[in-house]
Amino acid sequence: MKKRLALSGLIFFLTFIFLPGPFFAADYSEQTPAPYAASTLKAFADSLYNEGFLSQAESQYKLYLFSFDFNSQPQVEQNLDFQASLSSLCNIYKSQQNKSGINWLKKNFYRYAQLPLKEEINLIQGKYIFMERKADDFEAFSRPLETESFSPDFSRLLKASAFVLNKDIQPLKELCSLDVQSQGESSNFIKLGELADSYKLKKPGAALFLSMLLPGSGKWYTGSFGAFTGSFLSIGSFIAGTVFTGIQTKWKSWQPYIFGACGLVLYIADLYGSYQSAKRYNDALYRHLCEETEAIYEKLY
Amino acid sequence: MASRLFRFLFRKKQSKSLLLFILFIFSSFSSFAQSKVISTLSLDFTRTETIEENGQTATLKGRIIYSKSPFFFLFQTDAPFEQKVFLTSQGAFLTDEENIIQLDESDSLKQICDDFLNWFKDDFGLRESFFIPQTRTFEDGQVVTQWDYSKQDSHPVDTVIVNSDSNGRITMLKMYLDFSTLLTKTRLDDYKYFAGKAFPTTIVSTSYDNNEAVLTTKLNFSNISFNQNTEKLFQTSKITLEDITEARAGKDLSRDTEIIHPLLSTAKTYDVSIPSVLLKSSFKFYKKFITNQDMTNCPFYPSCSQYMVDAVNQNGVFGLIQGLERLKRCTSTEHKRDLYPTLSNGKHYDPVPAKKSKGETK
Repeated sequence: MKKRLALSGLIFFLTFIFLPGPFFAADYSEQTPAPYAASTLKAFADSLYNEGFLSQAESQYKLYLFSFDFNSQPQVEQNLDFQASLSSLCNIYKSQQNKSGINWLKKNFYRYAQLPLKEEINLIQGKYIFMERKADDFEAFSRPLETESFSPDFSRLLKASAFVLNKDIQPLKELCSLDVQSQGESSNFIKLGELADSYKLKKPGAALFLSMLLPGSGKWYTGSFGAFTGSFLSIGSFIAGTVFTGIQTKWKSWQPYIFGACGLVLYIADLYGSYQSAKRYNDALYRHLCEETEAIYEKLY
Repeated sequence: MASRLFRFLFRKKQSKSLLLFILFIFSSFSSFAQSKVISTLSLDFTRTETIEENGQTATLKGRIIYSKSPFFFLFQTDAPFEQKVFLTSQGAFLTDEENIIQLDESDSLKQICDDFLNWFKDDFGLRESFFIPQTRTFEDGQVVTQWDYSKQDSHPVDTVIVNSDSNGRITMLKMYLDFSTLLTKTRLDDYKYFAGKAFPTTIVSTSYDNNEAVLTTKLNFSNISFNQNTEKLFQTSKITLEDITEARAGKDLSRDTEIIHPLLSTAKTYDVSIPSVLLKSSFKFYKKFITNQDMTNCPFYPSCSQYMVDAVNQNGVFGLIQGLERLKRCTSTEHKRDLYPTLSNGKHYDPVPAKKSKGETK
């Protein structure tokens, strides 16, 4: 009896150990959908792109690009569908002004892209890096590109951007004149060359010194005659008021001191303003150069 | 003092002043009762997108959490992928299981979050909206308001038509690219009242294209709660300080910038010296009673008054001279010269020059 019980218990136990696997396991094959074929993904992504649903198209293009097996398909550069979808993705990021998207594209798929597309990706990325105004970052970006054979316009633009960021005006002038000589009036660098020619800095210290001698003259030095007349007349009238009331009241009244204090405050403000206006003038010259370079980037898009 | 005031008010001759006094108290109490400040807000959302032609659907489930002080806006998704986007005073940050990334201005995720935040701010009255209705008509017991955007070149939409019912609740919103081309049609349903404000919990938006392709987006809100305890709010968002410190140690940042936790970023220092209090209070007075009536006419950004407050905060007494110099520039014709970067609203950007730190060289 005991043996029978033990045997039946053992069979019962073994049944629950070995049987449940195939019988009770959840059937995941019904729940997970089958992956779409690459051509379907591409067609769906293209239709979304053409209809203008860009963010949805972006995710579908990404799925399509990752469906490629790059080890078994070494000549993916020759695949026209692949190149077209890379180009569309690039256009999406360009229209969305998505900087991190372009960085992602360059990091993952740049080596599989053909030359015109490579140039376009670099053009967009270069513009964003240039807009940060960091010379070191731009140099790190442009140095590996020197070995590749891009169009002359783009390689000149890379050089010009580096010169602008480092404020190397003489080589920038030479580069622009070279481009104007070779391409004539159709050159993109005409205005940049003109701006480089007129790049003459003002000294903030000189403006301060001039304003010390004659109130407002520092602003005249930086090119604002109107500000000079305003400052000169206002400070001059306070000085005249101080002297006039002082002589009239024999310096015993409070009036000349009030006039004098106001004049002094205005004088100090004018000194500070002259110094800052020279700085602002120099900043504006640099900013114009940068804006013109950005305009060339947009022309080449 | 109180008894004198009481006697003054209850004299027979002063009955008018008594009436005014009662009116004043009544109006202040009623305005207090109406202004329910929403300090925190959290809700769960489900967004379903369907393309009619292909029958394809995609769903996104998540949570939106807003806190007024310390300011942060969290856009969190649970399915199909886990992701958190923070909008804070320090910028926008994307965190997932592995790393934390600072988002750019141009990032589409940041733009989505910005849109959500602005929409909430409009709907909950957290921000005043400045739309001016162009025409208003009555059709089938509903108010139909039409706004004209055609003069704004930057705006792709030309006309917006809004239907609202007798309670002022929006039932339908249509956007037109031009007179005949319908861009989107949005239906707002299932209004529920939260803190005295009606808010739709179901929003169905249909976008049309030139080729008549139709994309339907359905947005459902649930578990909406207001003015929760901040600790509770952070428990639901599951964000801790350790997440950020670990991410920093891993150096998985896209840029080498310092990232501050949204809770730590709001440590404020209060300056209570007499000149600064005087200046700030006069600035507030000017803002509230003078600029408010006159509109902002200053050609610069930040405006001259704000510039002076910033300068005094930064440089003390010398800031007054900086502010005076700025006023001189503002009133002269110097701002017309091309010396300043121009912003999109046409103002010249001219902040207080930053102080140079000791280690900084030319």
